[in-house]
Amino acid sequence: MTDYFTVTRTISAPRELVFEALTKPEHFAVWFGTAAVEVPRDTLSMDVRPGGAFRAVMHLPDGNSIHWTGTYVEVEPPAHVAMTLTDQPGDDAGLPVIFDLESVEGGTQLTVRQDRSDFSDEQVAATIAGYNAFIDDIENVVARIAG
Amino acid sequence: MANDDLSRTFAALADPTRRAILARLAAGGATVGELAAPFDMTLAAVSKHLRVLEGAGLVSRGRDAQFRAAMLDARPLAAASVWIADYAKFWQDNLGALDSYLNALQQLGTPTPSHDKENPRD
Repeated sequence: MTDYFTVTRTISAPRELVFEALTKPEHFAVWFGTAAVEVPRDTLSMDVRPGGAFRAVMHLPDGNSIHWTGTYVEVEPPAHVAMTLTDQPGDDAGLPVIFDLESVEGGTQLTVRQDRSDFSDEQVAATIAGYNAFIDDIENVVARIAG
Repeated sequence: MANDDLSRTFAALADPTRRAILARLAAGGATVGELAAPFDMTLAAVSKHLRVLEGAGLVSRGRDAQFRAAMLDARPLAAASVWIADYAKFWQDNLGALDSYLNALQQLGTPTPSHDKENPRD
């Protein structure tokens, strides 16, 4: 198993707009974490260029907060973004999450994946450890969305 | 991997301090004292966490009686990669939210900040 996961969805919007939604805080704050959580616009900082920093605070329905940090690794508008993402600031953020956007009939096919093929067990462990609070809270978040 | 092993792996990972210890060990072996330094914890408390991680096969300990450096053993993590399905769920939900948001945005015909020249779609 080389992929942790691959998630694909066709979104009925032009590729440029989908790319903006992924890379502009005023959009990102709205959808990231889904409607079940709140990401205040003023907690979001997105320096979308290779080496640039990502920060966001996610307020969960149970009152807890997740502090996300990451680094943009690859940025190729409007087709590709790779960024690390962790909720344990200060730690090695592990493997990047990769977003690929492809224009298709009816909109844009967006693929999100994390691939471990080129990484050591140690990097994989760092990635898993990097989703710390997220793992604790994901079930609550998912339950709210489902409910 | 037997379910019991997987449960032990998950149980060991279900604690933020233990995940932080694993993240630290991912950078290289460390003694109990080195592991305790970033936490407001006694050496005994760190040792207890290490025993849980050892029990799950995630950490091995050196033979040196005095230091017994702890080392990461990432094999159970690889075996527990099904667990990563949670990440997939997270992103599936996020893409659903992104899709809904962009649909609403386009239906409202609200010009987006840097696409203000673009005509809104019906």
